[in-house]
This record gives sequence, structure tokens and C-alpha cells, in this order.
Amino acid sequence: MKILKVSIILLLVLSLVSGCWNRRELSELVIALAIGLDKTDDGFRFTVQLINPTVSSEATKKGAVGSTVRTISAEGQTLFSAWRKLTKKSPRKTYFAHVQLLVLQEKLVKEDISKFLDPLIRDHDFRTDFYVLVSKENNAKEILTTLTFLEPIPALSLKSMLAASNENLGTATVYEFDEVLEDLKTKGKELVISGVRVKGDPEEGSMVPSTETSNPKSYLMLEDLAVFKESKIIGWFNEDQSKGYNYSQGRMKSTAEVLSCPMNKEGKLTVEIIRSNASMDAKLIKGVPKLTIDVEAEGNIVDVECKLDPSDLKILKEIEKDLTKKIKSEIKETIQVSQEEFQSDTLGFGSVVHRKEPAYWRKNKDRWADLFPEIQYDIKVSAKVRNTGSLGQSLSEKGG
Amino acid sequence: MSPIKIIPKKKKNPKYKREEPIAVDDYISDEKNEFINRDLERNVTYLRSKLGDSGDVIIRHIQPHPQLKMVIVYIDGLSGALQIQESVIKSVMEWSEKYMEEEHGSHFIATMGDSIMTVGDIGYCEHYSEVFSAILSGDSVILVDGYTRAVIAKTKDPNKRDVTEPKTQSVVRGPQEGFTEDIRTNTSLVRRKIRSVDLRLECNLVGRYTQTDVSIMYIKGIANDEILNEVRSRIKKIDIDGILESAYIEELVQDSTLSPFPTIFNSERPDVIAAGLLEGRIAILVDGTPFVLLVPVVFPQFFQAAEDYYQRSDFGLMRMLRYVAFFFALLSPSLFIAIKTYHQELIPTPLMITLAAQREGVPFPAFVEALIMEITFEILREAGIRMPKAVGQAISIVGALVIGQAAVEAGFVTPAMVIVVAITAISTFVFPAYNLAIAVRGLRFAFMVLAATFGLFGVTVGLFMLVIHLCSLRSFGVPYMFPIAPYNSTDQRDSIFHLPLKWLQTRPRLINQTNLTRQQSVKKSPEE
Repeated sequence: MKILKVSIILLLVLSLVSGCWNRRELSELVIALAIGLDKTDDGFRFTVQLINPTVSSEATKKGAVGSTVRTISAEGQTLFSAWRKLTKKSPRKTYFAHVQLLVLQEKLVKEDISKFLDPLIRDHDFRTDFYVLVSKENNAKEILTTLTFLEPIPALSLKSMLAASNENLGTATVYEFDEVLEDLKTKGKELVISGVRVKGDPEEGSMVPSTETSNPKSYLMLEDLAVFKESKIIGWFNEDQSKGYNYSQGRMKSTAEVLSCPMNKEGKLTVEIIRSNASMDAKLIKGVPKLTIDVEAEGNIVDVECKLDPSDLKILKEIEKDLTKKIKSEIKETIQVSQEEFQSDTLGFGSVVHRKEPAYWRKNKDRWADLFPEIQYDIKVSAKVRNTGSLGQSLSEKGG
Repeated sequence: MSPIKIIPKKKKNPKYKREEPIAVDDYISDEKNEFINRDLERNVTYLRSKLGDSGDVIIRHIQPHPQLKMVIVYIDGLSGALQIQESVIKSVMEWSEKYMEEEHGSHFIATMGDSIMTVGDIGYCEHYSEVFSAILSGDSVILVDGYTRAVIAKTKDPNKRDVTEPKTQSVVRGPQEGFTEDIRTNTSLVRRKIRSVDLRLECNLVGRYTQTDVSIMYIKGIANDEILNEVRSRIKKIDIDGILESAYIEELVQDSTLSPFPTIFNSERPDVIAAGLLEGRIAILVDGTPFVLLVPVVFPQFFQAAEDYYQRSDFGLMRMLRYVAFFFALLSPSLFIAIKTYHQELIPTPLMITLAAQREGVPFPAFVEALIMEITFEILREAGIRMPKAVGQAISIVGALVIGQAAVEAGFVTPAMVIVVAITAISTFVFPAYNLAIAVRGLRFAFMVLAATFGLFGVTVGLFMLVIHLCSLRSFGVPYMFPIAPYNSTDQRDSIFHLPLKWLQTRPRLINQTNLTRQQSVKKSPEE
């Protein structure tokens, strides 16, 4: 009985005296959904996109006015010093666990990005599942201040924009922060990150009226892929090269390929890629590695602008051959640009060699940057057309 | 002189507590030695003094013959007046008048009882103690002048409540009868279900004043003798002035008084008790209450509804739902508090934004908010039970408005908290056994304190303590968490899961080790 009494008292004392260490009510926090990093003359500018919950939430929106988000920036010599200065401009402690997006200024990533990303990994508040983007031309702050349509919170909007264009167009890549770190650390695979920019005047895009028109003058737009070499940006892939990159990495989910008609070269024909797969292999031939890229793609015919009978197997074969050629040329272009222009191993040839020919890799990994531009490769594409849609002959086929 | 009087502290000596002399003890022992007197008038005086001239005690003098005086003593209301009039007074008067004309023999009492009175059951007695217990249980006693033996006529009034539908444990399909307050009705209800000579009933009288009939019912050959002896000895040890409900017995014989969890099962359904008896459990029936106790009990049993066995087997989906409800009822406010104030990173971002928006302008911390809502709900629930039926509507309107809309609109609590409390409240009523809900209710508040002070860490520690406590509990020697811990694979078929009856061939293992087979395997029969 005495033990019981003592233990009850101890428990009470423990729970009351120890207090609620680290307890944070939601109303004591302000949630950051995106962070942007810009370069300044003597350090960094750290920008956060903070949500204004009462306006952002559908449940409590009635009557609330104002912008869904507020961006605040602070400058400092190091990243951490900049971000602690945010408190001077924010009424509450910023909460970083829900960060969805990291935007890096193009000018900033011309320097070694592995240097300044350190605090983002070291701090326990951050999760490593946010997306990373590079702002092309604009600075990161301008990206974060631009308001968006449908999804009231720009960070979430940009995130779903990225996912949607990755899934349906195949020009953007979706890289989470931990994947970025992995590629940074991996020798033999260079980093490739999607780019974003503001079309129009960034100042105008940050005003609430820009969300109240059906045709805003400035808006966010995903653009191209930023190519890195040794943790520094070196250039951009254009749309076709981006597609080639995604094909070769097996990251292509769906896209549209425009071909010319097999009989009538002037007409156009579009194939929607519905599935694709890629694998890479490396073999030593006379002491030199040769890469083989195997890509399988399946698609449906979705748009025919010429006289064509898709039920004719011969024509289908012809289309498949064209599709194969198209995909092959896209991948080839990507590799050529990587080898000649950027001399950056974006496709990860090095890591394939590492896996397949470890002995060779051990000997040559330090020379890989020099070796890479000369590496021979072979692209094998097998493209299939699975479905011709719910229309047999095209509309331009008259009379039958 | 000091103005303060120092009162010496009373020395507690619990060992001797029970043996303090109580007046009642004297009265009982006094009466036990007392024989019925030959003189009727002295007997009547003695009875009058003992029963204290109570208004409902009827002492009826009859004199069928000038030389024959007798009295009939009974308590009005307990005994059937009509039956006494028809079967006792009328027959005795007609007969003894004639008898006295012919012969005045010493077998008068025996003849009167055995051959004359048209009553279902007759007894004889010579002690006053038997006279009193007979009168108080509704029988009538006939004392004759000149004889030291008295006749007890069982004239108990059958006036009792009809067998009706059980109010607390209703089913869609299954027997719609419930126990009543009368123990005889209750035993008959069970006997009607189990027509076996092995169904045994042991009667005890418990309670110094109430002399309540507390019966142990079991099936010989299935029930474990050790547990049976334990039940017998625990009931025998009870020394209390009164037993008004089976809860008294439950409290006095249970294994752990301080545990929030019930270690004795109760039911007002005869089919549930019969099923328990067939599993080798022991029923304790108490006169005056429709709730019959069942021991030993294991934790999963509180999640088994009678209907599980009467509907098509769903392999325990409904039971698992009840377990889910158990965790909802126990943990949902505490998990909500913990995640909302310590682990915001666990909330999906869109929900986080909504929750943050709701939090704006709410003055109290999440814990206080939850506490306000929980306590309000408990008050409403308690009021709902106690209030007169006529004001029920008023309470429900106030409840719906207070707990729901008004609290949110006034900015006292967040809408999310209302949802959490509502889920918790509804989950509490899912268990087939109401007393488990009481246990969960108390623990819920403890978990809320843990969550508010230590976050999920506190909740985890609390859960560990809960599991350890549950595993340490015993119900009459049987581990409370059986068959989960200790694990028994065969009994898993009917604990969390519920397999079709075809595959439930054995009785629960820890209760009885000898007579396990409930049904022979169905596969064997075609070979015959």
C-alpha cells in the first residue's frame, strides 16, 4: 500500500514538474511549406513560404481575406544564421517538418551545392522527402512569392504540377531531397533537377488579384532539366533531351510522341506512351567499357491526321518502327549532349560500370570524368503499339 | 493548562476488526438455542417481542375445537394470503374439528402436515431459528398449543416479475429472455437450457441481515474442481451485513480490487450463462438481481457477444471491430493530443493546414480542450442515465448543441476535437460488456495526461504498463489474457477470431484440462 502511494505521488510529481518539454500547440507555430535559397554578395538569402492557415483551409475560409501564404526572407553569411534571423519577421516559430519544396537559385547552384545543403540535413526538423527545383533565370524568392491557381498554396501547387508533368509529359523529373543527396554522393551519376521559372512579371504574380483572373499575366511554369557536373550546374536539357533522359532512367511514365504518317509524310500522328522500362548494362570490350541501354515502350495511337488504316498490321509495324527511331534519337541526343557539351555523366554510366565491371571501375574511377565523353554505347529500343483507340479509320478517310 | 485537548490516536488493529462483538451475533446465537415452547401463549409473546410488532407480521389465532388452540404466523405480502386461507386454514379447521372429536393422539402434528394440508411443500421444526427464517422467506408457520413441533407450510407468494427481454444485452437473433430478480426463475431458466443431471446447484445464505440466497451453479465433470473449491471458499469467507446485488459478491470475491479491469463476467442472458457453464465456467446466482456472475473470465471474453454465435460466422470481423473500438475508446483523445502538440510532422500536410486553421483563436491547449469535451460528454452520459425519462429530450437537445455546434462556434474547442470525442464516446458503447467500458473510461484520462506531458513516448510507456498489468491479472487462477498470453493456438479459434462452429471442437483449455471435447470431429461420422 505504501509503495503504491509513493509511486502514485512520484508519477504525479514527475508529470507535473517535468513540464511539457518541447510541447508546441499548433497555434504557436507557423508552418513553412517551401524554402528558397538565393545567393547574395556575402552569403545567402533564405526565403520561406509560410501558410496563413485561416485563409488556406477550406473549412475556415468563409469570410477570411488575404493571401494564402506569406513569404519572408532573411540574409546571412551562413544558411543557419539566415534562417534564425527569420524570427525577426515572423510572429511565431517557424516549423519546418512540413516543407514540401526546396527552390535553388540558378546563380547559387553555380557553386558547389553540397556545401550549403548541410544544415538542411543536419537539422532534425526537416524531413528529406521534399522536392528540389532549380529556378531558371528568376531567383528563388520570386518563385516562392508567385501565387497559383486551384491549389491555393503555391508550394503544394508546384509540387503537384511537378508530379503531373512527370507523369503525363515526361519532361520533368521528380527528385526528392534524399535522392538528390544520393546522386550527389554517388560517383558515376551526376545530378539532374527540374527547373522552374516565372512567366511574366514576378511582382504582379505575388498579388492576390492575380488569382482572381482567368488569364493571369504572370504564373509559374516548369522548364527543362538542370544538369549538374560535380555538384555545380553546367547547363540545361531541352524538352527532347529531358524526355530522352527520362526514357534512359526508366522514369518515363507517360508522354506523347509525334511521328509523321507512314504513307503520307506530311501528315502527323501522335502516339501516347503508356508504359516504359529501361535497363542499362556495361561490358568490357578490349578493355574499354561499352554501355547498352535497353528501353521498352508501349503506346496507343491517339491522334491521326492523315489517311491511315490502323487495323493494317503492316502499317502498325511501320508506326512501331518510326516510334522506335524517335525514342532512340531522343536518348541519343541526350547522351551526345552529356558527352560533348556538358561532359557530365548524367545518365549514370559510371554507376552501371561500377556494378557490372567493378574491377575496371576501381582502377579508373578517378579518371572517369575524362573517360566518360569517349564511352561507346548502344541503344536498343523496342516500341510497341498496343491500342488504336476507339476509332478505326481516321476521319480524313472518306467513303471507306 | 493547555486549552487543546490531545486526543490519543486510535490504534488500528485490522486483525481484530471482524471479531468485534456485534449485537446481531448475540441475537442469532441466542435464538439458535431456543426451542419452541409447549405453551402457545408464551410462544406468541416471544414471537411478538422478536419480530417487534411489525405491522406486516400476521399472527392468526384459530380454534377449531374448544380444546385446540393454534396460531398461523406469516408475513403479509411475502406469503400468498389466498393460499393460506384455502390450503392451510380451511383444511386444518375442517379436519381438526373432526379429529378432536374422535381421538387426541400424539401424532397430531405429523398427521396434520402429512395428510391434511394441501400445500406443495411441508416442513417441521423445533427451533425458533428455523421458525424465523421460514417466516422471513415467505412461508407460514403453524404452532399448536401443547406441542413443541411446528409445521412450516411453503406458502411463498409467487408474485414476481415476468421473464422479459434483457434490457442491457439485446440481440437481433437469439433468445429474447432475460433473468429476473427471482433466483428460482433464474435457475429454472438455466435448467431449461441444460437438461442434464450433471448441472448442479449449491445454495448458500450470505449476508447477516439480508440472508440472501447466493447459489453456485456448474456442470459436474466440466467445471474444474479446484476453481470450484476456490469459489466455494471465497463465498464462504464473505461476512457482510447485506447483499443487494451480485456486484457485492463480485467485489468481495474478485482477484484484484485495484485493477480497473473486471475479473468477473456478468450477464442477464440465460443463454450466455449456459454457454459459460458448458465451457466449464461457474455461475454465481444471487437472489434479487437479474445479473448472474460467471467465473473464471478472460479478457477476450468481454469482446464476445452472444450474437457472434447466432449469426453466420464472419471469422471474427465484428470482434476485431470491437478490438479496434477498444483502442479508439482508450487512445483516440490521447493520440490526438500527442500528435497535435508534439509530433506535428506525422500529420499529412493538407490536414495539418486545416488543423492549424482550426486552432487559430482557440484559447486552451489541446489537452484542456480534450478534457473539457470529455468531461462534458461524461456529464451528459451520466445525466442521461439518472434523469427522469420525461426530461430526456431536453438533455439531448442541450447535449447536441453544447457538445457540438455551440462549443465550436464559441471558440472553446476545435471541430476536430469534437469529432475525436464523438468517436471515443461511440466506441465506448461497442463492447458487449458494459463494465469494460467503465475500465476504459478511467484509463482514457490517464492516457490523456501521459500524452499531454510526454507525447507519444508517454502513450507508449502507458501502453506497456497496461499490457504488463493485464498479463499479471488472474481470474480465479486463470491468466486474464489467456489464450493470447500464455499463448494457446487451439483456443485462438474462438478468441479474437471466431471460426465456424464446425471447427470449434474443444473447450477453453486452461479452465478444464480433462473434459475438453465439445464435439466429435464431423469428418468421422460418414464412416459409421
